[in-house]
Amino acid sequence: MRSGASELTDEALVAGMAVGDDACTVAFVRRFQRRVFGLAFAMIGDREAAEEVAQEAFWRAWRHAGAFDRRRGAVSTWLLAITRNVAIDSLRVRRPVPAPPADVAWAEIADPGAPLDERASAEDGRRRLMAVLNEVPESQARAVVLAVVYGFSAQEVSDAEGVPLGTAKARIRRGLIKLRALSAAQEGPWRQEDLSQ
Amino acid sequence: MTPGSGTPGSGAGMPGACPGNEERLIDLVVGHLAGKEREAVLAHLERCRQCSVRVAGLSASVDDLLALAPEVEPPAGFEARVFARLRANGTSPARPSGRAGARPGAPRLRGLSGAGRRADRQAVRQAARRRWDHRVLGAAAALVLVMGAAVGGGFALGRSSGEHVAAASVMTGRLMDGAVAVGKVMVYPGRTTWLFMYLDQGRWSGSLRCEVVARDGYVMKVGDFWAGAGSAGGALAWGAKVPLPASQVREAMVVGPSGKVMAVAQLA
Repeated sequence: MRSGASELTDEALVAGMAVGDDACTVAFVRRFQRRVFGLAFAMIGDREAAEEVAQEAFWRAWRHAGAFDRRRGAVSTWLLAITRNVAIDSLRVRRPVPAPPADVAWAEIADPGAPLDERASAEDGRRRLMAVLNEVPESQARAVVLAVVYGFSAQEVSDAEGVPLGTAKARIRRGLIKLRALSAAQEGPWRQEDLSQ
Repeated sequence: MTPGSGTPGSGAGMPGACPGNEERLIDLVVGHLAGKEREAVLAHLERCRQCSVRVAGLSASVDDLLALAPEVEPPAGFEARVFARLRANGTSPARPSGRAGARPGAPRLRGLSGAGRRADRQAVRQAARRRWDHRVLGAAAALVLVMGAAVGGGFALGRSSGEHVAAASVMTGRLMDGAVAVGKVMVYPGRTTWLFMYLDQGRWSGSLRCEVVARDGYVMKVGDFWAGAGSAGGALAWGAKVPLPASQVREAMVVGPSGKVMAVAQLA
């Protein structure tokens, strides 16, 4: 096994996986396992089921590594999107018993005190994300994050937030629309396609 | 919505979607559609470029949000089980095939040792015992990440996948209801002071208030939150900004609707 794969970039690891490089596959799993399992666990709330989701996500990533297109986004984004899709499929099967509501209740996400220019100029992807989230009304941002990151159904968002179901749905929808518009405004033209119609 | 109509609208509603379709497209990308409803929307997307492009944009925003998910250490033996699965499924006839983007030949993993079944069963049992702790820690890590990003420098945020979120100079205190520990409070310094707490789920339900006591004895409300009945063994996580420098916060309290102090945390 070739040494030094752990020092390769994310994109190089995926390229290595695509051509069957075992060292790249090992390094890829080691590098991303905490994030993949973390997202699966956040959405599923059960370690055994989350492990199944995480394993399936890695298998799909490995299987489709050759289809990864770096122009469409970062490796981590691609891998986490795969993980989320697997988790959603799992939740569809498992959801006859809803997840406990209010496991996560976020009172504050936005920090309107931070200047927009300062936030927007930050290089870190998470900071840019927060800069965008800060512009979304807090209740909507919370609803979107609970639905997207924690896999809450609209009913579970309703329960967790103590608002009617219709309000929860409206917050999710309005929040995501606002988030999309703000993100598109900050991104390059290749991701502004939905505003250029 | 008229899924399946295949008639692109004028875009007079929300930008990029057929008129009236926006809500269903959002439900789809968030994962809230299932069954025939989902199939109908997917069928519509096959024929409507306008809505397909809109879904791609919305999906990009959803994907971006996934960076907020907490990092959690997987169960013992996870890595070995992944490699074992890659080896097994790489040649299994049951593997999915013909998916969009799949290349003809999947790579084959060689020379990696997998965990034995006994070790797997032991890991699963250990995982079940740790489930509650990790659920709490997962929620905590996510909120810390959000708060860290929001305060713009209060935390060392990872720039690559291998790095972790780290908090600096966090003040902590066990939340006590008399002699019983019912949760934990953490106060994070920075340009904005943030307080985060978790509570045992189901201990109280209804509207609760968080207050802090400053070092000069002044009591200040931090915010209200809702505690659902929840299930035994769960936890409720909550966070909010504190209008005080972290160093000035002496105690944090959970207060019930009647004004009764339910639990107190001494911070150090």
